Amino acid sequence: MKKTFSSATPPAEFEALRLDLKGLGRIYFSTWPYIYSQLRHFLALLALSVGMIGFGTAVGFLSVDILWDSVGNEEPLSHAQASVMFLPAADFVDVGSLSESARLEILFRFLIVSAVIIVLTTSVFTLIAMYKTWILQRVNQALRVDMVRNAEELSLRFHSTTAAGDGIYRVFQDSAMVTAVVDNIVVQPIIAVMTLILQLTIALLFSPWFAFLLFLASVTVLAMTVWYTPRLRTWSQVARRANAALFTRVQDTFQSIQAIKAYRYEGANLERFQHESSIALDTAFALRRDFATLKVAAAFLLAITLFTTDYVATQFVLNGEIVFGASLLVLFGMSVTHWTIAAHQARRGSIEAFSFNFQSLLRLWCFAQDMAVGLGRAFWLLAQQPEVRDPADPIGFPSVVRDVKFDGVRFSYEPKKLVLDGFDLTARAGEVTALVGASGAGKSTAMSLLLRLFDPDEGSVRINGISVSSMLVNDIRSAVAIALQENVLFPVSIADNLRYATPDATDEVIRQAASVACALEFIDALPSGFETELGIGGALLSVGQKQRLSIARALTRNAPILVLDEPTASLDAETERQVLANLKDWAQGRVVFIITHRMSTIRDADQIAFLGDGKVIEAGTHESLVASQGRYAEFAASTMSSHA
Amino acid sequence: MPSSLRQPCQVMPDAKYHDRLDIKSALATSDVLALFKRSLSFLWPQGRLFASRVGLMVVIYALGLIVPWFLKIVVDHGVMQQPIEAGADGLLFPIFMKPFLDFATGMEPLTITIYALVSLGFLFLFVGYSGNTFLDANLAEGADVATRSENKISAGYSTAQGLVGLLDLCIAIRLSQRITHHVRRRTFGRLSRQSMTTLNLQRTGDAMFRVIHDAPSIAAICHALTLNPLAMVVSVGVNLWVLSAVYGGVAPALVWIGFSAVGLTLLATSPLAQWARRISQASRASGSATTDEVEEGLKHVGAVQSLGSTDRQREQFAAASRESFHQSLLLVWVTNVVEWIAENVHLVFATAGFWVIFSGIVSGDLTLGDAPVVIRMYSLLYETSMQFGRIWIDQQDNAAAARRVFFAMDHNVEETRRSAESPRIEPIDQDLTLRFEHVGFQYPDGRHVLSDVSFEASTGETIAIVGPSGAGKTTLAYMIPKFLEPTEGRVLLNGVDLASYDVQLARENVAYVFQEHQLMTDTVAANLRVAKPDATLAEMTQACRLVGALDFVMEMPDGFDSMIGRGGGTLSTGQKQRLSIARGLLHDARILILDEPTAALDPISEGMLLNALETSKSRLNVVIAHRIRTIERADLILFIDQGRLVETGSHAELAAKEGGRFRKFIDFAET
Repeated sequence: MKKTFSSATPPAEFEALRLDLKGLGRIYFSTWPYIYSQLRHFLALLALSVGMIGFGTAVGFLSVDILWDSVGNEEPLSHAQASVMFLPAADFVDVGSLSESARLEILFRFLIVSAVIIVLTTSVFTLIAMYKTWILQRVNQALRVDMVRNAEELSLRFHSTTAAGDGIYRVFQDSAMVTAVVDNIVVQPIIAVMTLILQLTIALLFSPWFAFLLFLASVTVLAMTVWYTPRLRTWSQVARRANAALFTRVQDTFQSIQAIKAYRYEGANLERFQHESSIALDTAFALRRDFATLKVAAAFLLAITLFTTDYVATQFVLNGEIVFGASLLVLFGMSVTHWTIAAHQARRGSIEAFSFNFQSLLRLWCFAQDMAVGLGRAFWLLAQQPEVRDPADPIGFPSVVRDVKFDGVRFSYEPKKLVLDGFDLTARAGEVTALVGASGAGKSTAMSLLLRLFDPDEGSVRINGISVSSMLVNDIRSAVAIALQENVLFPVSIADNLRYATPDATDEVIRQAASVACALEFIDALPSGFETELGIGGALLSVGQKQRLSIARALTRNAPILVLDEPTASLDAETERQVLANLKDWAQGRVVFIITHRMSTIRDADQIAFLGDGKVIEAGTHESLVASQGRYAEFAASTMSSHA
Repeated sequence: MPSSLRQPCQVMPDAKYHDRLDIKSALATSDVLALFKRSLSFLWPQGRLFASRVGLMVVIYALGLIVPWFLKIVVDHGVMQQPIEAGADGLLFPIFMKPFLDFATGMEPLTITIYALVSLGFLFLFVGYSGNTFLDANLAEGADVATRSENKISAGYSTAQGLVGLLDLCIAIRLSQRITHHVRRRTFGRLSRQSMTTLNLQRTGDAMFRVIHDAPSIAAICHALTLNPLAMVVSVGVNLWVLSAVYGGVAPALVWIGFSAVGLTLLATSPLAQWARRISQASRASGSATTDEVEEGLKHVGAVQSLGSTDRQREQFAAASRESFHQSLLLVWVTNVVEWIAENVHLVFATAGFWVIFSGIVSGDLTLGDAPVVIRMYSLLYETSMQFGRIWIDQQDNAAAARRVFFAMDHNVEETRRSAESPRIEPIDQDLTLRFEHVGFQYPDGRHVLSDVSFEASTGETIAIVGPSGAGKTTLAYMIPKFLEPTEGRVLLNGVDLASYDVQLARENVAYVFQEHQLMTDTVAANLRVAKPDATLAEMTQACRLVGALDFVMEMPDGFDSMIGRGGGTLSTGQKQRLSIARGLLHDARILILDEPTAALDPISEGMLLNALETSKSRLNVVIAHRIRTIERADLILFIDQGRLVETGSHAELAAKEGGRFRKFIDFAET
């Protein structure tokens, strides 16, 4: 079950999710946990929505019946209709035809009752809409938190800021997208389908012919849609790709603006932007044109169906025919036995409603095609499981760290390609341990095992003799602060940057950390000091200054274990040695690891571990290792040869 | 005159801001009008598309007037079997229905029904419920900027269905797209030509995304100010005209209700929408900080590596995210309430209309067929005037967006600042001398990072700039390709002040390799060709070999044609840096500046690189370095500390200087 994937990017087949039956199944399957957690609310929403639609239909029929037949055509009311408007049966029900004054009375009362009902229903619909937004936000929140967690995990595991940067950058958008999918592919279609069934039943009750005609039209539109869908899907994919390319170009341009200026690439770049913009717009146009064509065709077909039923119903009225399911139609508020003008108009409204719902379903389908394209990646991210699990019975993280010990650790990312092969190392508190070796020697991997991003295949990593796999992942990671070669600074103030991981750090603490990292001097020289806002990526500072800030940020966390992964590459020797000297003082009671290539740094470490072939070949102080004339001595000599 | 636009105010560099480009959230009416005028200037070039839409609009509203009367015919003369007598005496129909009525005179009810329905079928094939329907092709839209602006870029709708509606929609979309494309291209070009200091000071990413996403607002303004009001005036006009022509005699109340519905809706919508807008803005303002932080946090979660990923941070994130949802829920609430109020205002008119229609039917003045006709006309009038009232309000947001776009367009640009003043200078050939005379630099925020630096160097030499980090080394090097211009003293190239050089020409002579690699999401070859568009494979291979990048490039699946992920994601930092150096070598300029190249190179590759640099005697190499091995090979060493040139000389001279800063510096590195 281990190492379920070997990269931080999703496999290609996940990128585009085809929305056929399998794709739909996947979407339902992947979103189910999030729907399930809000299931009670979703069911309540469904019941409310369908209930309101049923109620609305009944009120509609009642209105048509009263307005057209009674007010418009002198036909007496039914008992139920009269009682709703508090009218006596004697004058309004049990009569041959209605008088003019009776009809005006009915109209007056009807308008009052319907106004009250409309105010009530619009209010309820508003509340339902709010309720739905609230539920979907809860889903979105859960998705976002899960996605961020998984993306963080990936970025840590692959030791790269960029691979996951891309993924995380999209979390905000992706989670909103998945939520929209839950709405558009699950919630709305269910309500629309139930409404369609209701309308089809009513059409059947008016006349089986109407149901047949609607069925025929629906099948035709569906066939047309099925035939048309691949086209929409293709455009959608092309459009999305074109847009992604365009926005990447914009982003790249501003991230690499210095290089673009330096190589006078602005003109060529603008041309490419323009070209990519045209492609994006053309595909967006083609997609919309085809989408609209499908809509127009479907609307026309359904309108023709409506006109056909207009003709058939007119014939029914002229022939005085009996309404097919009159006894059941009463349940929906329509009390007619023979075809009347009211039945004619009610049928029209009912078929228009069917057509409206059918078209929304069609629109949702087309939306879904477009959305499904970008969805695979989101689901891939959601499906990631943490590689390591917390033990059932965890041991607390020690309050004082005495040592960190790697004991016979073997580890591989891929089968048969051991990265660590019998790795032994003990780093003691109060000491700085330098990890030295060619790239790929396993320096960063060893640190990943310490962080419990992975668990070793064999052997163990122990803190004070206790294996890290018996501790909570969260405890370990809170106890380890890391600074990397690539410095990510945020466009906020320096103080906020230093406080990023520890928001409640006092000014005292951040000043102290800045001073250890040799950053205090230049910060204080800035006009706004710690309150200086940094540009994007901290563009106002030199690279060396940024590195010192990121070291200070790690120090601010005041963690018992500190890992510096080539963080001093851009510092000059003097500053670097000063930082290191400060760190050695600061390290009292802490374990400090430094991964570096620089001789001057290595030399001052309390312990040097020289790595090769997945194990520690030699360990000791600079002097002792040089004296032993081993591999390290060779390495040191080669680095310093020119000015030895 | 929008003087504030032409000369954007100087932004305070230490100001706290969330959106530096949109400092003023409230726009004065005169500003808005100026913005509108400028927005419209983007519409006129699309005159043909615009004229086509106006033409189609006339067709749509003309045909749209006919539709409801056929419905009336079906009810009155079909279902209710009212005969049509010669001359259609006593029937309430507008003049344009006369031909059909004459044609249908004396027909059986069922025959009339067939003819009316077939006519409707034809109308639907072309226009649908013309004027009273809505055809769009928007795609699903989430709460994110991307999908929203995606729809806005290709925004368009038609008030007709059928073939005419489809055509109208396609033209509308194209019109939006063309305008946006035009705006986007201009803005993008301008932004990438801004001077380096501006780009550094601004929160570039934020600005650019907003501007790119804001661009479609100009198209929205163009539509909202021309076609939409025109369509509304025409539609309200013709409908009120038909209403009074047909019903003015028998049921004048219907006409009065129609007129007052239009008037009152216009009056009511404006303050209502304004209220909604104010609340939504207030809510957004308080929410924007949260939203920004959430989005920013997400963008940079990559930093978790340096910060650890703990439950506590996740909780912080979850809390921030929850807060932003809470804010947006408030917004949804306000929108819904406003809609609810609008619906119930409509209810008053609908109820009055129903009373007049049906009491007219009861008294015999009107027929049942008049009900669908009048109801349809009322709903059209109501919808139209409702939208009309909103036009102005909606444009406030668009105006703010347009302002940001124009701000970016008007911002100072390097080229325009220089080329107007000075003639181009002949390209430099042969020997080249670079001379700094008392050069100093002060940032706009007052920080003095460089002062009184003087030295001279010429081709064939290698100069090393040495000094503690933050000393001003990079600032000094930036002067050479005119990324920065000295605020004191001057830089001379072959005796000519660099200030009088064209920016492009100055850069032609300089290849700059940055400390932070700057690769784009493209193939390795395309990244290298940024520096030299026509570089051959052999040249690229050679450049990569020199920096030790060839091996890993060849190991990639497609060699030079392999894609590099976002920001060069598939490569390690060191590898990216090497490619970046290879790119600099490829540029083959007379001056090569390497800003700390050694951080990425191992000793062996570094040696190779330095050997390669030394062999070319036609080049001036400027190296910012920490490593002794690099420094000691330089012909001239500039030791800089706190912005001042402390010591100059060869390695031997400086190393021999007892108690010198440089000597102390290398002693540190050597012991």
